[in-house]
Amino acid sequence: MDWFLIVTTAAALAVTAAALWNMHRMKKEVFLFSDQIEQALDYIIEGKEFQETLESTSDTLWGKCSERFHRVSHIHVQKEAAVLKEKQQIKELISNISHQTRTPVANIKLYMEFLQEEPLSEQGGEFLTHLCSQVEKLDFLLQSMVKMSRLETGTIQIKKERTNLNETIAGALGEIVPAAARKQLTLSVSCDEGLNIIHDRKWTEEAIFNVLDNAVKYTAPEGSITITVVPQEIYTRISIKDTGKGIPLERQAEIFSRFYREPEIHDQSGIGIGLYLSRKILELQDGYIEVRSHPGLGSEFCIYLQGD
Amino acid sequence: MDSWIVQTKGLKKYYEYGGNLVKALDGVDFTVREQEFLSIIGKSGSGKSTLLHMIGGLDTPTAGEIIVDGRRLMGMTKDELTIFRRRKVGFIFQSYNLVPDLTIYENITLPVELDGRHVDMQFIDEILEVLKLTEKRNALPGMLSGGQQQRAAIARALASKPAIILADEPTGNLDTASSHDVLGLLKAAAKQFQQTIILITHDHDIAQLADRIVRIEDGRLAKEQILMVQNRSSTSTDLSASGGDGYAEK
Repeated sequence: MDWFLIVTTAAALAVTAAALWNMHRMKKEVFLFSDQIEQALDYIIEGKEFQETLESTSDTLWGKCSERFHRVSHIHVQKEAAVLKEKQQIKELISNISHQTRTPVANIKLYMEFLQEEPLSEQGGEFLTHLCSQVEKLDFLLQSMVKMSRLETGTIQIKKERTNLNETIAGALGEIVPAAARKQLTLSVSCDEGLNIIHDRKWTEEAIFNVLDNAVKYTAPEGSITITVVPQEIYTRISIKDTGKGIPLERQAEIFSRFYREPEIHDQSGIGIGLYLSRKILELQDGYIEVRSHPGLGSEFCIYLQGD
Repeated sequence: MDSWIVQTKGLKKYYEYGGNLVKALDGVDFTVREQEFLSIIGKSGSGKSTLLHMIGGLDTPTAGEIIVDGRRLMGMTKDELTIFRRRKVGFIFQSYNLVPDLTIYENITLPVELDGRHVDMQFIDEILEVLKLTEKRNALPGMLSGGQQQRAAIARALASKPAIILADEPTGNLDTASSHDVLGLLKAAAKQFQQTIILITHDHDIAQLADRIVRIEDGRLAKEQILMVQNRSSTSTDLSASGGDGYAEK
């Protein structure tokens, strides 16, 4: 009788132990499984191709899914490649447009120059002057559109190099000096000459120029434009302050949108793309631009570049 | 057609305060697109924080609907809302709320670990790199400046790979220069990790970093909504103008 009790107890214990062991094993596999799924998903979220593990041919929980994860990841990567190819095509189209329109526009300009030397009636001469200014506008528009679409489709290569910021600013200033001189504006710069930060020289120069161009346009003769460079912990701030007419608060954000023109100045040249381009250029470099202004008190544009 | 990640319909929040009925939100309809950086500006008491709290599931509306990343918040239980917040939303507040006894790295990974999830160490390294915190990873919060602590708080919000980041006056305690450093990095990080940001501020300079600015006044979206540079080609906005007009009388 005693023996029977001992045997049954032992058997019951063995069964319980086996069941517990089994549960432990299953739990472990489930934990491992969810861990592996998370890792695979992290891979896919980041756009990397997930490589099949050896287990894809074994009969575990993970083995059953691993192969499909690999497929999903593969499809994802393939789609990305297709998008890239499309971008490439757009890039080619844009460069074709810019290339093919350049010659006719240049020819038109050339023939108009010839025409200016020909004897024309008074009215003829007047028409020609209008024609010239319209062609200039068209030329500028085409160039800006090409630039804009290049920036928007991300087909512009930003080359970030550690170079002297002072020289970049000087480059932009050099371009604006004639226009500023015509309006007798005072230009001043305060920037540490040895300041080297990582940025794209060519495009940053363009971004700064566009801001300066606006400053000159909206500042009355004999005003001033001041550029100040202040390094911060992360960003370097380039402040461009003018004594112009200022911008009302409700328009301050809008000025950065595409084809925005101040309502009062439709007679001035320009197509409302400069600040939009500046913003885009800075975003591509992980920087940004903002404006502070009060009507009548001038505007201050601040460009922030991530230096290191 | 851009896809949206947050949508509210006729959102209202009324409560009693000192015997008066306060209409914190009075019929707000708006949409936030995926990967957009949206600023909501308004004076204190305009209802902007209430709106953010609703989107984040921290507060429940009196009426109306909120849909975040395909989930309707109205029908959720308290437990469901907690898990929703933990997985879908990253919060950044004015105060940094870092655990003083944990290193920056530990602080950042804490929410992921508490959720019992796998910590993607490579991803955390990337976040630290983008937010310029790599050198500070083993420092304690007390050793960092305010701006650095807020950057750590941003890193913590990003660590769980949430669908949206909700920032409520994140630079309220910082000086101007640090504010710009912090928000510039937030913008750069969100771009790199393809996240949507909703930023609440009363500060116009800071709001300008966004792709779009929405103004809120007296619990309603003001008619004037400033459109900024769009990341995508769309030129108009699918943000419906203040739809609150019909609701107020009810």
